[in-house]
Amino acid sequence: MNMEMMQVLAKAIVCGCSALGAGVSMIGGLGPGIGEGYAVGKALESMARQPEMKGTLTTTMFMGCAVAETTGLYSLIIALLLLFVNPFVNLFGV
Amino acid sequence: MKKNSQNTVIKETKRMAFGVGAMTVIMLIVYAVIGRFTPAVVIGAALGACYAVFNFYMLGRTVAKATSVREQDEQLATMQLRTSYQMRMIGMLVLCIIAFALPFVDGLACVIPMVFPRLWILILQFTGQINDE
Repeated sequence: MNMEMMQVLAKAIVCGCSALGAGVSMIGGLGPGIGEGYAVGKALESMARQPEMKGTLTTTMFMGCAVAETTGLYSLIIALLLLFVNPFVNLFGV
Repeated sequence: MKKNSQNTVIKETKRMAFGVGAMTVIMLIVYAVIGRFTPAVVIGAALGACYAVFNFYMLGRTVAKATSVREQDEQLATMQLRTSYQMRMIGMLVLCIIAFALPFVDGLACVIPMVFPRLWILILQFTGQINDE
């Protein structure tokens, strides 16, 4: 196998592993969905107990959901970077 | 009560839009300093910032809608929020793929502003502006 073929093979392996990594990183997107749903459930329970606190609870949950959602966003960004920017392709002289 | 929730969402979205806008300008300045400032970067940054604010507004609307349902509809509220989250994520994914695919849009500059809401909330918490309410 000549050098050129070796380089093509190495590049293909790196691209494949990057695609796998992107898929695995998207597992992180599951958490916020579950967490936000749970938070809303608990907030509704609290509102039923103390209706006068609804405004404060809504604002706090609103901000909390935005913060929780960032975790999913990070995994999406990592997946996109692995797929489109391919930072590992040029590593090791591939 | 419903109108109050809407007003809160609009107020918070305005505050977020200001923060995301300011951070996007700082990002563009950094791009200019490192010598990578191009029209594609400006378009990408504008797209990313607009989507970040839109995403925050949609989150707020969904939270306001979910909290306006009665206690016995807890399952419905949970499902509403999960569906909204998934739709917003898909929208973000589509936007990012378009940004990376189009030659006149810088993909990285489009992705970076999407984490600015988190940073802005951190700043607001740090300065005590969230706790004041």
